[in-house]
Parts: sequence; structure tokens; C-alpha cells
Amino acid sequence: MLRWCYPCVRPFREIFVTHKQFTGKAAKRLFCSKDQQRSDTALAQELERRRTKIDFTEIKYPTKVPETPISCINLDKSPDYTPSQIVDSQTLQLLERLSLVDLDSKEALRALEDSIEFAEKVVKIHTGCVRPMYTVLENHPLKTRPDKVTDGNIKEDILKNASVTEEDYFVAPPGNIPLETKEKKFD
Amino acid sequence: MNRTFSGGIRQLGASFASGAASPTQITEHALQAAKVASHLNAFIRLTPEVALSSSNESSFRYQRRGQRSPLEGVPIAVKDNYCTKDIPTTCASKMLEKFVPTYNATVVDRLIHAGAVLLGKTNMDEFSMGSGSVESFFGPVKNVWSKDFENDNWRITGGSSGGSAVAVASGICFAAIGSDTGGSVRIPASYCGVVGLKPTYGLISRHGLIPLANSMDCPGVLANNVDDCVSVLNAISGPDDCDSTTIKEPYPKVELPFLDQINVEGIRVGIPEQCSCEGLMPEVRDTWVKIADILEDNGAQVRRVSMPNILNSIYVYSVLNQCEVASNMARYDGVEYGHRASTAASTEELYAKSRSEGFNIVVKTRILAGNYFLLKRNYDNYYIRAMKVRRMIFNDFKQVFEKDGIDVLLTPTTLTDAPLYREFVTKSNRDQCALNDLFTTPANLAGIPAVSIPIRLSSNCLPISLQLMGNTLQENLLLRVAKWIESRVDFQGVAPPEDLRRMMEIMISAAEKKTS
Amino acid sequence: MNPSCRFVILNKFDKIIVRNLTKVAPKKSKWQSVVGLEVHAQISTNSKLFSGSGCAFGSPLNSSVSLFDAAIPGTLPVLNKHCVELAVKTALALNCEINPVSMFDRKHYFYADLPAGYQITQQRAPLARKGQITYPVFTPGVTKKPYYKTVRLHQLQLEQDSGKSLHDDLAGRSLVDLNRAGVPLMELVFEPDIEDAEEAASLVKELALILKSLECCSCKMEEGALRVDANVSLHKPGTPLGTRTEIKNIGSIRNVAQAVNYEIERQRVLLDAGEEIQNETRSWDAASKRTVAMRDKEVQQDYRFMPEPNLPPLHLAMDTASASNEELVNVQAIVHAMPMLPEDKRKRLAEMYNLPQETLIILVNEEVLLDYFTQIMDSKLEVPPKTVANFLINDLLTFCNRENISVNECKISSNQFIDLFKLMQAQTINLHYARLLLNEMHSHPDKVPAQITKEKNWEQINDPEKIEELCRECVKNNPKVVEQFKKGKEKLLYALVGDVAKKTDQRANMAMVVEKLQQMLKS
Repeated sequence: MLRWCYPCVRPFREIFVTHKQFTGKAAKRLFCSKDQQRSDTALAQELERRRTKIDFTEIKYPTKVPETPISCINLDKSPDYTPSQIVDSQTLQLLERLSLVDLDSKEALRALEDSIEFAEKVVKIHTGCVRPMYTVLENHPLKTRPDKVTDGNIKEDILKNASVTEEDYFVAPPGNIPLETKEKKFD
Repeated sequence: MNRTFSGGIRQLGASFASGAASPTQITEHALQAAKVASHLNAFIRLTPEVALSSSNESSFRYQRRGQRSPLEGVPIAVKDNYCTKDIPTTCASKMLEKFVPTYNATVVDRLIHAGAVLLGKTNMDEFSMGSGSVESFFGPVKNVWSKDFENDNWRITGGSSGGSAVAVASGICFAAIGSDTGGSVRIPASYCGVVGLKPTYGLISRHGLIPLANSMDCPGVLANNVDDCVSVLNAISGPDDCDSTTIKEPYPKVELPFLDQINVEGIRVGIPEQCSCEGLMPEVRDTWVKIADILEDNGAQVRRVSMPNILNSIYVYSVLNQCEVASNMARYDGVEYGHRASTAASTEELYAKSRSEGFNIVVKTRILAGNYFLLKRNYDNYYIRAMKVRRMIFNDFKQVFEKDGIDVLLTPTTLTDAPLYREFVTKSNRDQCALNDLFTTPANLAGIPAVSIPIRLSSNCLPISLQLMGNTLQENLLLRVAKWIESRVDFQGVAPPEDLRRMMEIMISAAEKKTS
Repeated sequence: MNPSCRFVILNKFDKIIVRNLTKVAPKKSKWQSVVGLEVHAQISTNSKLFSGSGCAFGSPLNSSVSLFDAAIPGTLPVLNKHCVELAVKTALALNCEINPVSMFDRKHYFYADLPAGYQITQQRAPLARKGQITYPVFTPGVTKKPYYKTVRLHQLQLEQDSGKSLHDDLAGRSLVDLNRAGVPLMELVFEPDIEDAEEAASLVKELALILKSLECCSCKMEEGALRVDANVSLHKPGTPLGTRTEIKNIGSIRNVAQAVNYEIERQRVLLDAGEEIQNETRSWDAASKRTVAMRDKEVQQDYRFMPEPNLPPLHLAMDTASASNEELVNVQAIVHAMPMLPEDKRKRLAEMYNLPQETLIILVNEEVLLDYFTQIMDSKLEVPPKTVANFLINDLLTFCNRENISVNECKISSNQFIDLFKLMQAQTINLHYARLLLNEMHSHPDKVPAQITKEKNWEQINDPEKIEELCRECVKNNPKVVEQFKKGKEKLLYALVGDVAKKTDQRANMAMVVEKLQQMLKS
């Protein structure tokens, strides 16, 4: 946290450059003068400095912000709410296998189903013949680089963060064995 | 007492140059301040050795009048999803707990080149997946404006760049780098009372930024004021050969005139009517109304505009984000880097175990949901459709900026002031994001620049901020208006000490009583 | 059916398949085979598709690897311009429609040698599509007469190669080397227009010729620079296509023919026995010469393609208007710089030298032969082109086969060949010694054929007096044969000719000998 000078209620780093006595090892001290009494004037000054001088209840012109708020997103759910989109057990197993992460609790399953239900909103939007947009830079032609060897030969860097290596190889357990996924039952 | 020092980077540089202070001094102070503030959990790692040695170099350069840029000697914190050479970069995840990059992100390289001092790596939501900075493997970040730091009674910082926001708001450093995919810079900036800038997509290189969703990820700047934001922006922006999505055309540095030369006369300000929605805290609405009024009073043309698709942004964002996440996270398998499960009988089992142990539940759920949307049978229905609605949102912006002639759009940044942690965590991660990201995701989907600026304190003595959005590459105009508003509201960018905050609260509630 | 039971049954069928395959003329079948090819060609570049690390074959483990190739978080792809140029060149050679704007996609699957968990490829908007290749189908000794076949190309796309994993079964682990990860590939997906194994092999042969003449790919199948996957299915004419299998791991052009042949026969035997074909991936085992089912195919795959967000669309300069943008790959410039393709070469040879189609095909198939041929012809010798071509195709190839070397390894220079033909033309040597000269020239590339001939005393005997003397002697020594000849057994002339040849170590000018003998005997 920024150190505050207790007596003069000034942020420490301002004092650094304004108070000559704050050189050297001053950073370890908590205040900028020998007078350790907090001065009420200083406090009042700082309060005044920080007080909003604008009256937020008064406006001069008719506001352009609509008076009646529109309803946009309703996330309040009754406690016994269950998402309507149910991921069947076969799909869940497929997702786990494609994702290689486990879905380990009822809460996680609910979160997943909730996500899918949330996305249903998108499905319902009428899009007509609009083209999909995958990047906002679609009209910036892709820049290319010349065919020169400018990288590589950094074997140490490449292997540095691997937990297991063997004679400059990365090491993995045997491949080509599909992961077994079990049917989930959360109660 | 010399009152001209407002804590800005420019003034700091002047004091360095004059010899009134030295980078080493300021860095030592910042490191100590960070230690004192450790209860806020803003940093995953401080980098005192790097910081002190580079600040010594900076001090030396100042002595020889050889400073490299306005950022020379300025302590800056970087979110822990930017790769830093020989400094662990974790993304706040167990998966990357021991990952030590062998290269610097372009943003980090440019900061170092500009002479900035890297103070440390800031805390965040794991892999930036969150909007509260509560989903970190290293524990949640606490908002410096909280009145109580115990028993879950503290305020969240917003996320996912919460650590960066707090590092600035608490005065530890002068600026911090965050990343903004759906509002991750602007939301914590808003809740912590600092300026948060998400520039045009492609203006700053993403090389070395560990991605959340590549098509929307955007490096961003958090600072105490608009001028400081500009100083950092100018140091890090511009094309990069390592990132094919940086805009190739040379872009002139942002230069803001002095305050007395800025006026808003003739500036066309749009108020998107869809942003006046349910759930908007009355005080936030009042703030929005008042600032629009002040702008109009000073000659700006304030107009209501309709952007029928922008409130669909959160749904589109949710689908696109989870799909890109499912894809981006596929590389974490424990073989080349990252957490590796101790035993496994097959490659797939190793991957599954490492990933299950290394990721938190939010990451896992997004991977599963993303893969669901990407399944061949679902792809057209979800992903393609989301990309179509993305274009509709993009076209809404094109309409207001190019056809309606709007210069900037003014909206709230968030619906409310910073929520209490205790209340925030009762909602699911998805709902947290939907609520927090409501006004911020449209700018990411359209790739346009947006800035959150703190305006005032709420009756809870918490910052309330507004967002300005501009057309692509219109940072200059956007930040000029932001600076003008900033000067009008005179919000002090560093949170005051606790006793002062308590007094301010009393003052605010007294004022409230008087008006009601 | 449990797995072991299936294995036994397959073995039973195996015997029938092998028996059928060895039959000289397989019996007419009611099944029609349909074959589609997918070819991966490594693009000949210095650096990788999306990174600046090198592509050299055989570099030390994990040394030609950049951080991007190892999928280190935060790294991003940057496209190699030369890869695009070479792919465009290939697309033009294959008569494709080139997409002015193409895009990159991610294809997801987990494998130890795929560090990012996805491969960057072009699925939805590839660089080019709708091409076609027209090529001669002819394998000497297998197909009777050459004919032309046209196969459509579905699409041509750029993509990354994966790394390499070595399965150490003993220690129960895979060892991963990423040198190959990110090497640029062109994937060429052909429509299933092919009907049999020879058509498939000939297509690959022609494609390799094209890619080599474009200098787009080394086509060294042994280094994995050209990889072929074949889809095979059988159906009855007039009915929908049958279930197909995919054969991977085909290591040479001959293997393409063998693998496809085997797979067609395997499916035919199974279908005849009322079995169902499994939709599976099979691997060609060159040692046992059969296709075997790969282990991992039980699992349903869903590659979850999505656009690669780190790469904006790839724009090409299609016309002169957009060619001013130097950033873009200029298609017109590539069109103008197109080299001669194999079919152009065949057409040109046919026009210039009036050679039979078989000869044209073989000459163009073997680049070295074609080089010899054109250089010999360019030297303006008075030798008929057909003689030169036949000597190269028959005699040189036979020599190479006997020496067990490939034509490329033949050390004979084209100047030596020119001299050789000069000697033959001047009747200094005959065909027999010309053949023997091949060996000498190969062992002594520095020696002039005339010198060798002189040293070895291989010169042909052309002196009419000498010939007459030889003939006279021969007639004298074979009175019985002469007698029978005079009685009308005119064929016996060649016995006498053979005798002269033998006496002179084949050095006598046979034409003169024949003429002289006839003259002598008929007088």
C-alpha cells in the first residue's frame, strides 16, 4: 500500500519529490516531519481535495439517457432451478474424451449445462444472411515473412520447462490408447 | 509544500531529471509499499532483484542525461499472463506454477527498452477466466477501497486484471499492464478507481501474452490518470513482426494537448439507449446522466443512439470465449511444460490427469462447454451463429461512428460499484461475468478502443466509473475527451488511507441526507 | 465377435487374398473399386510454415525447433511467404481455381507429437480447389498399353506437419522430437475418380514429376517428403459407394500400387464372403505386404475445426491492379514464371522426335534419361531419335538394374554418350561393344569412349578385305552348313554369321558380314 504521511495526509511518493528531508533511507519511515501529531488542517485539506465538487443530482438539459430502463438480462433463478438443456451421458463422455478434463461434480455439470443454456440465446437471434466474423482484421491482408532461417537452435530453451526429458527427447507414456471414460452419476 | 506534483509519470520523470528523486529510491519505496500491502494479494511475485538493478541503471542514465523515454525509472507492474524471461509466469494457475519463460512478451520488451522498472507480476483470475479476480490459484485479490478485509467482507477488485488495478490504486506503482478480453482491464479499473484503457485490437502486440481468446485479447494499461496511460501506451504500441494481428500501418503516437487547450465543443457524444438497463445502480445512472449533461453544457453534441445488438454481446462473447478457450487450453498437457501428473499409463491418461489437476473448475467447465459448441453437430448452431451476431454488433458500431457521425460513446463501465466478496461468490462464474461484462464486451467484439475513467465515490465510498468508446484507431480523440472529463471530476487516482476513507464515507452520507 | 475370433477369420481370408493376388489374370468381379488419394507434400523451403526455424532433414534432436513449434504459451504464427508462392505454383500446375482470399483453421486432436493440441490447416477456405490432373497410366510390364486418365482435385491446402514420436515399447513410453513440427505441407485431396492400383500409382508418379519440375517438393518418399494416404471402397456398379477404409504409411510409389491392390482384394474377398467392411484406418506393412488395422480407430473423432484467430485472411494479388501491393503474393508473376510440366515435355518430345507413347512416358518419368536424351539430340548427331531413346531405356536401364544402382547414380556424362553414339554412327563400334562401354564409362567417367575402345581393342572390323577374308574362312570351315543353305535352308545363313561373330569377339561389322556371305553363297 502506498505509504501515507500520517501527520500531513499526503501520499508518500509525492512527498518524496517535494520534501527535501525525504532522501536516503527515508522510504522506511512512516511520516515526513518530526512532528508526529496529525494536523487537523492537513486532514481537512486532503478531504477537501478529494471531495466531489459536482452536484450529481442536478442537470441542466433533458437527459439523453432513457428514463425507463430496458430489461436486458435476468439471472435471478429460483433455488430449485434446473437448466433445461440436459447433456446426456453419451455426450458428456464424448466431451470428456475430447477435452481430456474431468467433470468431477454435480456443480460442474450444472455449470456446463448452464453455459449451454446461456448460449441458447445466441441460437434464437435472427441473423439472416450476415457473414460470420472471426476477426475484426478481416480486411487487413495477412502479412507474411521472408523464407529465412531466423530461429531454432535453442534446444536448452525448448527443453527447459519439461518435467521429464531423455537424451534431448520429450517423454510421454505410450500413445494410441484411448482414455476410458466412465458414465457419470451425481447424486 | 510544492503542490504541483500530482503523482503523474511526467512529473516523476521531471523530478528524476532534476535530481529531486531517483529511480532507485522510488523503486525501493514501491517494493516496500507492496510488502506492506501484501494483504491485498495484488502480486503473485515481486521481482526485487530485477527491479533494483534496472532502477540503478535508470538512475545512472538520468545522471548522464541519457534517459530513454518518459518511462525511464518508472515502476510498472505486469499481469502474470505476460511472459517474462527467467521470471516465472503462472497465469495464476497450478498448471503453470513452475513455468519459467525463456523469452519476453513484446510488451515487456518494449517497457524494458523504454527504461521502465518491472516491479512484479500481478495476480489475476486463473488464465484470465473471471471478472472478479477471485479465481486465482494464489488466492483472491482484495480491493484497496474495502473497509473490512476480514471474513469475506471485503470488496472485490473486478477482474481479471485485479492485481494490476490494485497495484495502481494502492499507489504501489505508477502504472500496470493488464489484458482485456471482455473487460478485464476496464472492470477492475472501474471498481478500483483508476483509469483503464483497452486500445484498438491490433494496436499492441499480443506476442508473449498467454491467450484467453485470441480474437478479442487486447493488452491494456491501468494508471492513475489519462496522461500516464498515454505515456505507457506510446511505449508499447505499434506493429510487431511476431504478431500477425498487429495493424501494419504506422500509427502516430498519441499526443494529448495541455488541459487548457482541450475543449469538447462540437464533439458528438452518443448515449446508447440499450445501456440504460435494469440492474443499473441508481448512483451509476446519475453519474452517467450528469457527465453527459456536463459535456452538453460545454458545447458537446450529446445524442441518444440505438445499438440494437449490443446487449447480445455477452451471449456472443460467452460462446466465442469458451470455444477459443477450449482450443487454446489444448496445449497444456504436461509434456513440454506445465504441471505433469506423477503417473499415467498412456499419453491420454497423462494429459487427462495433468489437466484435471492443473486447471480450476472454471477453466475445466469452459473447456467442456467450448468443445460442446465446437462439435461438428453444434458448430453452425452456436459458433457460426455467434460469429454472425458478432458482425451485427460490429455493424452497430460502424453505423454510429461512420453513418451517425458519433465521435465517442458514453456508457457506464459496470452496473454497480465493487460488490462484496461474500455476495459475489454466491453467483456462478458465468453469471458473475455476464453481469460485470455487460457494457465492456461490445468493444472487444468490435475491436474498438475503450477507456474506463473514475468519476466519483458512491455512498459506499467506492469508485464509480464511466466508459468511453471510440472508433477504430481513434485513441487520440477518445483519450482527449477522457482527459477533459477527468479534469472536470478531479477524481484522485490513489485510494486514500483507511481512516481518511472512513471520514469520507461519513461526509458522503451526510451529503446524501441533506439532499433527500 | 471377440477380437481374437476376428483375427482367426481374417487369417483365413488372408490366404484367399494372397492366392488371388498371385493369379496372373484375376477373374472378372462384380465389384467395382473406387480409390481416392490424399497426398501430403513437404514444401521445399528453408524455414517452417509459421516460424523461422529450419526444415533441414536429419538435424539433431529438438534443434530445429522454435518456441512456437513447441507450442510455448504466448507464441504466435507468422506465415512464410515462400510457402504460399510454391503452393500457388502447384495449384496453377494442377489447373485449380485459386481462392483470392483463403483462411486458416485449427484442427484439434491430442497426440504426443502435436504440442499445441491442434494443427493449423485450411479446412473451410483452402488456398485452391477444383483442380484436375490428366496423366498417363503406364507401368512397363504391368499395364499393356498407356492411356490417359483425368482425376479431379478437390482442394489444395497449406498445413503444418506434426513432430515425430518414437514408441519405446520396452520402456513403455514415447520419445518426442519436434524437429518436424511446423514443417510446411501441402495437402492435396483428390476426388475418388481412380479405379485401380495402377491408376493410383501413376497419379502419384505424375504428381511427383510435377512437384519436382516446379521445385516445390523434393518428393523423397523415404524422408517423408511425400506421403500418400489411399481411400478404398468397393461397390456394385449403379449402387451407392461402399464403406471405405483409409490406408496410411505408404512409403513408395510401388507400395501405392501394392497397398491399393491388396486392399481391393481384401475387401472383395470379405464382401464375397458376406462380411461387412469396417470404416477404419489401416496401415500398409511393406514387410508382409498387407494392410493391417490400426489400433486407435475405435474412438469416434471430432476434430472441432475453428478459424485460426491469430491469422487474418490470406489475400493474394490476382490481377495486375492489386499486384502493386508488394506484401501480397502475386499470382500473375507466378503464372509467367511457370516451368515446363511433364505433359508439356511429352508433347514437345512427341512433336520433335515422333517417339512412341511408351517411350515418351518412360523418358519423362526418369529425369536423368530425359536429360541424356535431350543433350544427345541437341548435339545434332545423325542418329535416329528412336535409337537413342531405345538405347537409353533398354540398355542403360538394364545396366543400372544389373549394377543395382538407380539411374541418378549413374556416373556417365552426356558427352560420353554423345561420343558413344558418334562411334556407333561411324561404325567404329557395334551395339554389343556399346553396351560393354556403359560399364567402362560408369567406372571411368573421365575417359573418352574412343580411347576406351582403342585400349580395349573393341573397334568394329569394317575393312571389306578383312571381312571378305573372314567370310571366306567361315565358308571354308563350314561346308555342311553351306551345302544345306544352298539346298534352300536360307535361315542357316545366321549360323554362319554367328560363327564370324564368335571368331571376331563380335567385332565384325555384321551388316557387312551378312552381305558378303549372301554374296558368296549365292554366287
